[in-house]
Amino acid sequence: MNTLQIIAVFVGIPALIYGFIAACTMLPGRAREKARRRIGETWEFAPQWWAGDTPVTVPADTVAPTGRGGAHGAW
Amino acid sequence: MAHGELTSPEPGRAVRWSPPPVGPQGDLGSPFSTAERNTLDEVIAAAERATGLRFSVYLGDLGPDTRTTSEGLLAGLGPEATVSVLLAVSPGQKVVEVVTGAESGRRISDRSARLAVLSTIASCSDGDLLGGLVNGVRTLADQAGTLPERANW
Repeated sequence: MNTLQIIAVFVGIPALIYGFIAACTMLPGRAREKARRRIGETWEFAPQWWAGDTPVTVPADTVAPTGRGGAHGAW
Repeated sequence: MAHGELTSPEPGRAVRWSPPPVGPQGDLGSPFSTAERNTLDEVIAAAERATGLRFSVYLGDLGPDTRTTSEGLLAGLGPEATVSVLLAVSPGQKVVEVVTGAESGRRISDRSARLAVLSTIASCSDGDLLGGLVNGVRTLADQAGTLPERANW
């Protein structure tokens, strides 16, 4: 093997591999299709409701079973 | 048109084929990514472990009467509704509601709930919905306080 061949094998092939992988990361993917929401846009997502699943103990006697407190705010 | 028949809206012109996505859709139709949902889940779990209350977070439209809808959501938690706290955010209407049950209302006063609403609004008005939900839940948990037997001082 002459010097050119050695450079082609040990530098050219790794550079090709690096270049291919780098090109793969620049391809448009599914993540790019996702539309990020901006302020002022309408809300078109379906309602979502999360709750924890840690066991809670419900006291047997509650003073006001229908009492509802809380707060309201808007921006 | 028979099934499988080739169609072309304009003859002689190629149309880009965009098939419906197949398989798991990930978070394409969700406002949050999987990592963001995991964050919210951890925050809710940490709040419940510390306070012993049930925390729930609603994100979506609340209808014309936001308060009634939120209270209906809290009632939907069943027998746990008395020890539950609901943080409801409607980004379309730009409304935040906090609803506490009978027992959780003793731990979280209306003034404390107002504090959580304000911290939620501070982030949401900036476009950071996840930050708003996380701040709101953490504020509510801080206001409710840690149960003595669960504190690790």
